Amino acid sequence: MFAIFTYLLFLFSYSYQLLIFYKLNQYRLGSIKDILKIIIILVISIMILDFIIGQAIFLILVIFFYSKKSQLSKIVSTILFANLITYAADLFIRLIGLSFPIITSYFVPIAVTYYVLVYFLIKRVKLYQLFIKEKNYLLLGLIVYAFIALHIIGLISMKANQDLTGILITALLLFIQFLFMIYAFYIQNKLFDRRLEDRLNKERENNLKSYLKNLEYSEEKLRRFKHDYRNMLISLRNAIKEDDNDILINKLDRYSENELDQENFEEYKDLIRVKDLQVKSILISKINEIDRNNIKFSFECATKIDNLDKLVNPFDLSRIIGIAFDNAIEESKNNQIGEINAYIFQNGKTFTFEIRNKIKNIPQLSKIQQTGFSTKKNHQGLGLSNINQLKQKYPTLFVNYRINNNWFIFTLNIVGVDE
Amino acid sequence: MRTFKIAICEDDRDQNEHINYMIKKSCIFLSSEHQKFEISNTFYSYESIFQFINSSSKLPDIYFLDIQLSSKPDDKNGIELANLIRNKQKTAQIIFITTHDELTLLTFEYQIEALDYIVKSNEEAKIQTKITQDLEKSAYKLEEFLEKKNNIFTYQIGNNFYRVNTDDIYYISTTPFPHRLKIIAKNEISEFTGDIKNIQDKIPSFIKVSQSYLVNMKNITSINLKKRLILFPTGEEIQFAFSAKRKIKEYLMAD
Repeated sequence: MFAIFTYLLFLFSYSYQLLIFYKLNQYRLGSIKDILKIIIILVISIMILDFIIGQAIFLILVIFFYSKKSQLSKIVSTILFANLITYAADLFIRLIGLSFPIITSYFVPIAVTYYVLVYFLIKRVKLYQLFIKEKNYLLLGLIVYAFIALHIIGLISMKANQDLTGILITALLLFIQFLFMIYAFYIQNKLFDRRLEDRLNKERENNLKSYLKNLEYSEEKLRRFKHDYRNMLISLRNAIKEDDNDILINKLDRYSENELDQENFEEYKDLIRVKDLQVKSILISKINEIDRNNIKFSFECATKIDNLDKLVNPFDLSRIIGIAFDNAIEESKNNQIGEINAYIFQNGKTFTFEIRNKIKNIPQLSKIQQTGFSTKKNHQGLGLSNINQLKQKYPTLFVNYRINNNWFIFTLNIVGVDE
Repeated sequence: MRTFKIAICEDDRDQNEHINYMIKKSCIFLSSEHQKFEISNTFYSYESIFQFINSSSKLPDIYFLDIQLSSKPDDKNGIELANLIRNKQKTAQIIFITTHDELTLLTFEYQIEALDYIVKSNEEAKIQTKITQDLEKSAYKLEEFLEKKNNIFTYQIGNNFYRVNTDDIYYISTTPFPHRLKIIAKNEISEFTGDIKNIQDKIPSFIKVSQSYLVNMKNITSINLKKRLILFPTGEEIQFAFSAKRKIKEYLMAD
């Protein structure tokens, strides 16, 4: 009877750890393979009745099954964190129970409440964001330290039979300290995001101002043109009367050619359909930059672009678009054949942004995505790996890289989730 | 004999009649004992053609669409309509009728994959030639599509479809996200929605060498049967499952 109870307890503890682990890594149960993995891990871990060895085997199995080359630190951090959170409840309720035996009879409801609360808290504050950064060794170190400390305390408490209050208080303090540190990490992350947001907001304002100036300028030009044209028509009428219209018609042609066919504002004209301010702003700023660098360029937007914030955080989106533009600009600067074309498109729930730039030498596509690689000799290579990291936040965001007849093509698709 | 059906959508009555007349002329000119062209549907608004496309099971093959289907700039336009048609009907041949300042060439070409665009102007003869050429090209493409279907792998992201030549693909693999696959080809790294099982049914010539890799064996650089390793031209190396060994051996023998 007791053995079954222990099994169930272990099973629950391991399952809960896996649940938290999945949540923090934003995994979802997808394939049969996934379920098989979980069953294997659970079965093997449960078979070992020794608590410590069982735990160790469980952790090793998870790390072994889930770690990929680049994500080892993330996997270790998340599973240890899940283990810590689960183990802490077990340990504290046990320790408190030794001092106040009355607690023991409420063991199950207290534990269940704790687990449910923790689960929803993790979900609510989107704690997974803390673990997105790869190779966050500071966080890993903190978690490993707390993990070891808590388990040592657990071991001592199991062996020692003397007064446990001291141990309990130490452990509690330690655990609270750990939680506080995690909280500090979390807040720091948030602050960083907010600072970035502020900066982008300011940028957006500046971009819109320069766009407005551009608009005013073209409006002014239009007014002047109207004025000139009217004068010219009057002269034309007089000239017809006087019969030397050839000269004047030539003059009119020349004037129209100069004033009408100027394509200065051509690139901006489609921006009117972009209703999303953040995206509009980044587009204006990048089009400006391309103009300044005298790169051959076209931009198209044939549909209304709106409500993007429902699909993706606008700041993340404008960062991705910005990086894609920067790469194209960098590649086209000082390049004789340099040319950039871009378009955005929104249809139903799908948003598409595509930018292509002419390339001189064809880069090895497979290397492009890797951290630190760049088609350019100097810096900038971080760009595409940054995109890769942002991409991890959204299961609905798709990035494609293609090379076609000397064009490097970057496509971003964001697919709306069906409600 | 194959009949190609044509639909026209233009909100201006006079222009609609005019383009109808011109297309009819081209149809008569092109029809022979092997193929026939005819106008099957004429629409005057976005709503009417939208309804038709969503409810009808027999859709036309070739579309002539006006871009500006309303005078209000925020209303649905021909480009959105074309995208809708494209999603319903991958083989649809779309030709835009446009004024000069509505030209959005990249969108035509890559987003809609429009066949052509006809700029409204006074040069009747030129437009007539263009219509005839476009119809001819459409017929050719529709035939070609039937033949070539097998060699092209089409994948989908949201409302968009992308095509890649099967011979260029190195492999298709799973990603950490469920239902998201990765495709590595000669000139392409892309992600799309799908399940590796369904993909294998679509491209039976590829070998599923492990739970997460579907490999085009024609394009591998080398293979090590002892260590169970496959090397790709990208420099990547993957290990294949023990259970796939027999299939791979069979393939190598058949070669």
